[in-house]
Amino acid sequence: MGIIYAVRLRLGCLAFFLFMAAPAVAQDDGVALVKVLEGSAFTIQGDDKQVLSVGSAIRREDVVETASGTVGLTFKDGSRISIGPNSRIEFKKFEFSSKEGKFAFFISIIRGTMLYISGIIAKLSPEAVKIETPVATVVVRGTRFLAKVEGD
Amino acid sequence: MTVRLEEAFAFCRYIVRRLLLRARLSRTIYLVVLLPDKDGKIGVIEVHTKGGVQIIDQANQSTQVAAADSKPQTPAILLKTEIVAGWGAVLRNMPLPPKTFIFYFQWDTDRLTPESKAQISAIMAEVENYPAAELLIVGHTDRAGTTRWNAGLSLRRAKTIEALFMETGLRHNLIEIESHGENNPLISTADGIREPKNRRVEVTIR
Repeated sequence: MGIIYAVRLRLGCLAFFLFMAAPAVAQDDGVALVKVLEGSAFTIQGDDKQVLSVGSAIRREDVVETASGTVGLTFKDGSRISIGPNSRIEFKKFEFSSKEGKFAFFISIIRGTMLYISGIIAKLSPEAVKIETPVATVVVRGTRFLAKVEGD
Repeated sequence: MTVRLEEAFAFCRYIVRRLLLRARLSRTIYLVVLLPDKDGKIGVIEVHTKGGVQIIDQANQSTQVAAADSKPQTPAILLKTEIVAGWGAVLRNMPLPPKTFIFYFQWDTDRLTPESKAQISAIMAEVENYPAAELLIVGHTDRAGTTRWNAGLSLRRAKTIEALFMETGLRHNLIEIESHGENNPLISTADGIREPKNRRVEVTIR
């Protein structure tokens, strides 16, 4: 616990330092771009809710919500997802660095529908891909699948 | 007699409570369906819950999870009509798959081969098909020359291609450049060997 806290603190300091040093690189935090949009969709980070349009970036730890709309995203590694109406998807972790051998693709479907098509991360490091729901976790080995979460 | 009756009532209350609990838990239903890849290949997914694991490895096979502590149900094949009814919107709005093109270069230069030069306009046109197109441009060399020289050469090649795409009006921040020097040959050779197929820039549009 103490170690986690220390690491968090350190990451926090590092993030603050980077932010102060080079505010212009903030967009590097983007992990995916909106490529397809039908109706309206939003990203939520804390109290900040933004309307998405084609070309909008999805950042690490964003939450994407749709009402009547559908949104299609392509990630930096070529993974793609489309999110159906009345959905809420939380982006938990994304790492794609072949040089450092760091890979992670971790999202959580809270409600709604989704189509996932794997990209390079699943090819290079299948165990790095995890898609979670309130009741189950999906482990993927390079593939295409649909998911639906109904309920509260 | 009364004791027995009370016991029976208590038992009934217990059962009702369990049923209510179960009903509340099962309000979240999770359904997952495996689709064949576009090339017909079928992947594998594993659905894990606290109650167990279900492996899905057939086209249009699905499993359902009612609660976190129950095992995912025995897989069943869904009909095409069921898939379209449940997921029509997401199937329709999936972004295009990324596409990779290779430009080849003349030996020890950042000049394109005539064949690759002839393909420029077709590849440029492809970018137009991608909304909010992003490019990954990766330069490579063969293993003739020193590692250090080749690192520089592969970067010059990548920049040559970047300049071409910049002319089409792509925003600079949507283009990412990498140079791998002689480290990632398409065809592996001994050091010092000239190999035209390795003198290249790979462009991935997504």
